Amino acid sequence: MSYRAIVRVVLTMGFAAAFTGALRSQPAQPAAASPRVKMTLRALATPASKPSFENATADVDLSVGESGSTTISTMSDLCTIAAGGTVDRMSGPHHAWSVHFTLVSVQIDKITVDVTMDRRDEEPSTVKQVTRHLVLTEGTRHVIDFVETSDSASCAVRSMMLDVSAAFDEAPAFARELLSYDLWLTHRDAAGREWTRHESRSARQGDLVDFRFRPLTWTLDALVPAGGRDTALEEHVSGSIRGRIREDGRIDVSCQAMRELALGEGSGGERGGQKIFVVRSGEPIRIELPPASGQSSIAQGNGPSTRLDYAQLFGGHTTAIIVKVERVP
Amino acid sequence: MTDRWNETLSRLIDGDPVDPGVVAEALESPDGRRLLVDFTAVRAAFDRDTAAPSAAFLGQMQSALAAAEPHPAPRAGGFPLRLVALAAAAALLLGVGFENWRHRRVEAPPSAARVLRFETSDWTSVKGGGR
Repeated sequence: MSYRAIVRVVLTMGFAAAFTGALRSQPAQPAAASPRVKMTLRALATPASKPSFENATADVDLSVGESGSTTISTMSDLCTIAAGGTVDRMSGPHHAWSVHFTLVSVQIDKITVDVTMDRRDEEPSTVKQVTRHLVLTEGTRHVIDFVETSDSASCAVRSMMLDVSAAFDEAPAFARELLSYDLWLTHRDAAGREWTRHESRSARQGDLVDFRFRPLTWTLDALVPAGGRDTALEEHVSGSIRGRIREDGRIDVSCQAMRELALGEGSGGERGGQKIFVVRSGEPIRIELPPASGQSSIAQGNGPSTRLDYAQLFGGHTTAIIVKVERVP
Repeated sequence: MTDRWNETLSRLIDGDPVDPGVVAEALESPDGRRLLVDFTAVRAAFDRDTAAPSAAFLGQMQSALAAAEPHPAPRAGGFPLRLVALAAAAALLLGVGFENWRHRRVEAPPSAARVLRFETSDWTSVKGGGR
């Protein structure tokens, strides 16, 4: 090998090593468009004879793949509390919680996070560790620990519960934007007759909006011609919807729908589900509910009650919600 | 109960042609049946009403109208007042009709660009039922 070839090989190896080293030394940066999520640790105190109240909160802001910790500590009588940071500042008998979050994935109303809770108690000295893989909807709470005291302390708090929740940090560009929601309920029977209801809402993007349609009502003898009964059968459909604008202008939508079939004074229970999808502004989406199911019983004078099967009563019927989400200019 | 039932049942009682499907839909509901009974009662009360103006009242009205005849018909800006009133009424009706049409357009569901379905596995119990 010539002198020049040796120099070339050495230089190439040197550049390669320097480039690899530079890559390794780069801190892991979240993508520019990666949404930020605020994880909140909350202490809820319950006095002996009063309603529970929020006693302390501590937050950690994370992007997908990032980890962070926060703490809450309280004296054993649950009267003094400190939140935030990573240092246990209490002295004397107390409980100290350190909670570590790792954000796994983020979708509208579906935040996946790994949570490890470490609780250290002084006098008696104990350690408790809990690890959970959570899938949270925005703003809902998940309880991770509970302590109580029998001390007759002056503050009268008897127990404390710790929970965690997740919320989006809205993108500043869209934080103040309004979305309008048009929702229709349609119910079509086997003969093609259709009943509809309409609801309109508007809210700031990212806010959860509840809706409830006026119930659809039939008499039992309309559904079962030989039934000969005038009892009212009602279909109640309600739910909640949340939209969030993406950087490309499309809208992430999470729609929670619930249906209850009620016959006279009875009910077959309320069932529901959640759909997450992406739409263009103003694009109508039809979401079909599963066929009716469940049973109710109906009294026949003084005689025995008859059991009615909703799947039979609503055979061939289709219930759907049509959703149209638009940006309000 | 809907405005559609209201209008259809009212027209049915007046003897006008109506959509039998809407009548059937209304009669399936206790509210619709109650509405039909109400309209029937109003119609019967109307038919029973035999009150008529007295001969003296009719005489007075005829002489008052005869006295008014020689005067020229009132005019508004060169147009007969009746014509102006008719045009105003027609404009009002058109406005109401347009507003009604616009309202119904919003109420009617749009045709969907896509269809999603809740599968039975997505659909879980939220609240227990019972009697």
